[in-house]
Amino acid sequence: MDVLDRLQKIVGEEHATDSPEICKAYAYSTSITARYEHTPDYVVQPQNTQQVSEVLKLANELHIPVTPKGLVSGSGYAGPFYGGILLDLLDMDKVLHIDPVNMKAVAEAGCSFFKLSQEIFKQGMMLPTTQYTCGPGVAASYIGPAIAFGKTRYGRNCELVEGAEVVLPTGEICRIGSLAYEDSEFGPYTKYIHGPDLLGLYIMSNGAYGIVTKVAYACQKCPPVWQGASYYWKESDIKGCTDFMVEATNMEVYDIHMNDRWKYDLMTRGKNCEKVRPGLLDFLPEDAYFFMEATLNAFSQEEMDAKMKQMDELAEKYNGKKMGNELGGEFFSKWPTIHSVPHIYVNLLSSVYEMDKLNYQYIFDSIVYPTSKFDVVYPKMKELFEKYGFWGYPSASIIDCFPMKGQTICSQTWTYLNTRDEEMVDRVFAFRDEFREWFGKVGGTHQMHLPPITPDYAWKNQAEDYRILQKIKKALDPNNICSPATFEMEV
Amino acid sequence: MPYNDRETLDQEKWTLDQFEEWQDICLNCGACAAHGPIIPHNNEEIPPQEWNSPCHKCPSLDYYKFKSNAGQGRLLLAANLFQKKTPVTDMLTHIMYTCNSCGVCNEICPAYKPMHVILAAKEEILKQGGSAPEPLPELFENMDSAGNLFGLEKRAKALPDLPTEGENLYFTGCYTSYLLPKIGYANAKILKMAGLDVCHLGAAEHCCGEVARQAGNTELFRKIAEDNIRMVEQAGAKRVIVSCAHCYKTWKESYPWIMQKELPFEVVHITEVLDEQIASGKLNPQIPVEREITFHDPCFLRGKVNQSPRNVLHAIPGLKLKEMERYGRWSYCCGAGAKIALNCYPDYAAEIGRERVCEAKEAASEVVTCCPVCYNQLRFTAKEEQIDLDVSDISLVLAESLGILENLHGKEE
Repeated sequence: MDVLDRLQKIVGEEHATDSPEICKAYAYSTSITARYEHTPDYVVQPQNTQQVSEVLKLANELHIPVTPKGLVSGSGYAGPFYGGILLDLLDMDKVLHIDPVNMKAVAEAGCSFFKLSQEIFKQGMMLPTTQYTCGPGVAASYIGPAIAFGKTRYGRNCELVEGAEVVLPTGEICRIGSLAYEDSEFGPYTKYIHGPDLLGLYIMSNGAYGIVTKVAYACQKCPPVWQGASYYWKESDIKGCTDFMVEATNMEVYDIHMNDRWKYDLMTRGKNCEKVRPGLLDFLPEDAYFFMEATLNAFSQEEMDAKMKQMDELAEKYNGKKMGNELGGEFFSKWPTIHSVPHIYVNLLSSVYEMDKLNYQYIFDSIVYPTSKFDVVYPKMKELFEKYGFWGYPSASIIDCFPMKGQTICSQTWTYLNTRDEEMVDRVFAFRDEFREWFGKVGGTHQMHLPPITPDYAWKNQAEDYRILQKIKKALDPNNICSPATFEMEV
Repeated sequence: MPYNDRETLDQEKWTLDQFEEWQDICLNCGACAAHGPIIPHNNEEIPPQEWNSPCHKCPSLDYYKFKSNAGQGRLLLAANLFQKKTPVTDMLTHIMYTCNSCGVCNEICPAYKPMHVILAAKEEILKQGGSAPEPLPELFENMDSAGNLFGLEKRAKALPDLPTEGENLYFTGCYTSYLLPKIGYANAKILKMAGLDVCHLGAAEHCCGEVARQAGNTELFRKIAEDNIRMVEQAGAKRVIVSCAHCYKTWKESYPWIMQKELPFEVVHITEVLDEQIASGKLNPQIPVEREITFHDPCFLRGKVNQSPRNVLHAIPGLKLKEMERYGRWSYCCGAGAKIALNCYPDYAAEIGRERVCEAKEAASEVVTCCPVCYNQLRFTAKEEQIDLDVSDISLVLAESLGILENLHGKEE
């Protein structure tokens, strides 16, 4: 019996394939699609945890790599670097448990963050972080550096995880954290059960320590009053903007989000801009450069008014100017159901073909540094964007910043790129290399473990830590079948 | 402004050379392949607080399971095909032609409009020497030589008693003419009752060519479109009224696309005309129709003609409309799948049809629609699956309330 037959015996004939065309459809991700193409040999769609276990046992026996995948927006990380079996987890998408009293929710791995959020809303609760459109799967949010709005107060999505069901590389099924108590009368209610926290082992692990099949999340009561405000700073006021982010993160603010001018300016340039975004330029002040969108929530209007006053005063203290509701009002008018900015996001997409033969591509994501160092990192990034010809039109690179709790900031950068133009793609890589060299030296971190996307500095800067991760990997996965590229760097 | 300025993101107007030159892999956000609610990537609306969308949207993904059969997978395979990085294979052809053209992926992602990329991919497959799946070549021949999809004798079976010239041209379409003449006669009677100057091409009416368009046979489609447009111009019509959703999409969108210019006349679906005539008091449905029904939105009216049929149904006294879980912009395919699924992949068409019939049955004991292809597919599926569901066409229900249904006896299919 060949591999496909055995896989089909486990999951059913219609849920496993080795068709090259179907496998090709799983070869891409968001990150510079022209270069990161990794085609699996098999695509397998397990329907339950037991099937995942059987697939891993088979993969172990035959030494076949296994890579889990959700909705694919995984920034390049969910690629099956060495081929093998790609586990498409989207059929495991059930919301299993919602407890509005103890504020908990449990869902299968492939359930989207948005789907879980929508179910939770019905019970008057919310997941404290809210995602773009459908968002990643609940497991992808745990094993990857998924970030969402609400992170200023609550951190990354993975910080909300209280329990998980994991299939170890050997096929053993293991429930950790609160889900260890899933079958008890009290149910899953606390992350901190007896002994060390094993959940942390899977945070941003990229599936290297096994396949997460179920996740328990902590929820919050959804406050009834939501309000947004936008402030802007001149480019020369970068220090004031930085100080504002540092201090605002200490307050009870749901979310602050920083973008430079390009995010909005871009929409004013396309041939179709008047149709897409009429009048945008009218309310973008010429000297506005850094835009801060603050989201506040409260249980009463009185509380909201006090919070808003505090936020306004803080912005004023650091030379920020408050904008009208033209951006902020619409942006947050339906918060949190709208889950961020699909309309603005699409304005950008709509401009794709207006610029040139360019596609909107991730350049970096999840580079993390102290919020207080924003005024150091941003100018460096801009300097290199300019050096390599990606600043201004038509590339219109965007530096998108997520100030988080713990006084760290996560930046993502995007640029318009013609992926068919090898010279242009080469330039992007040269830019990345130079930035990474500098960023690694000053102690910046990168939060996903997967070469070749992960830069060398991530390993070099934390060599002892990395060697322990490799030892654990060897112990749990002696045949190195689970996301095998993840810890293969030598340090 | 030109119809297609070639540089903006209006893929529905793009020609194949534009797709070959411009189309790249999408951002891979996965919304079109997600099981579960999504927010459309729409730059013109903000969903309400109670926003939701159905979990299962793409019939092809539901049936064939893998992402290759959702907008996302097809779009990236198409981008590879356009750039000659992927050869035309039987599986690639299968993946592209099992798209139902229902357009729900365009609803989710107006930025990349996957369905239009898939249409172009079918053109590309034929251009690169691939073959359309069986029995499409036979259907092409039928459309070309017999002037109808079925290859039946050229004289249309249903010939409403209408002049050949007039301001409003009623285009019956193959399904109504050959399989469901009663619907055609009802529409002709209702339009006359409203006092409209309405005409019909009679035996000269030819197939709209929708299957050629949906299958990527651009050459045949151009020929049919040119003939049909000329016929309308000769009839002196200012407005073409169609009662088939497939004809509607073809006349409304595909003819301007193939001609790369706007048509010199208006194209409307009959429910838009009925809605307009009821609102102005020219049609007055008075006889109560005491039934609870549900309404099936044809895919090819998605997002364009969803309210008019409901207005017509609401105007009929006694009629109670109960919506299915998936309706309006989120309506689910009846299984006919641009008639390609129906003809080329009958098991797939039957399963999608069964799912839709069951969904309708959960809502009411009768489903009304406004497309003869959907009508036929739903009716046939209910019968095959022995599901006790009555299937009706909106014009027949309206005719009942207008008191003209009895006059149509003897006009059965």
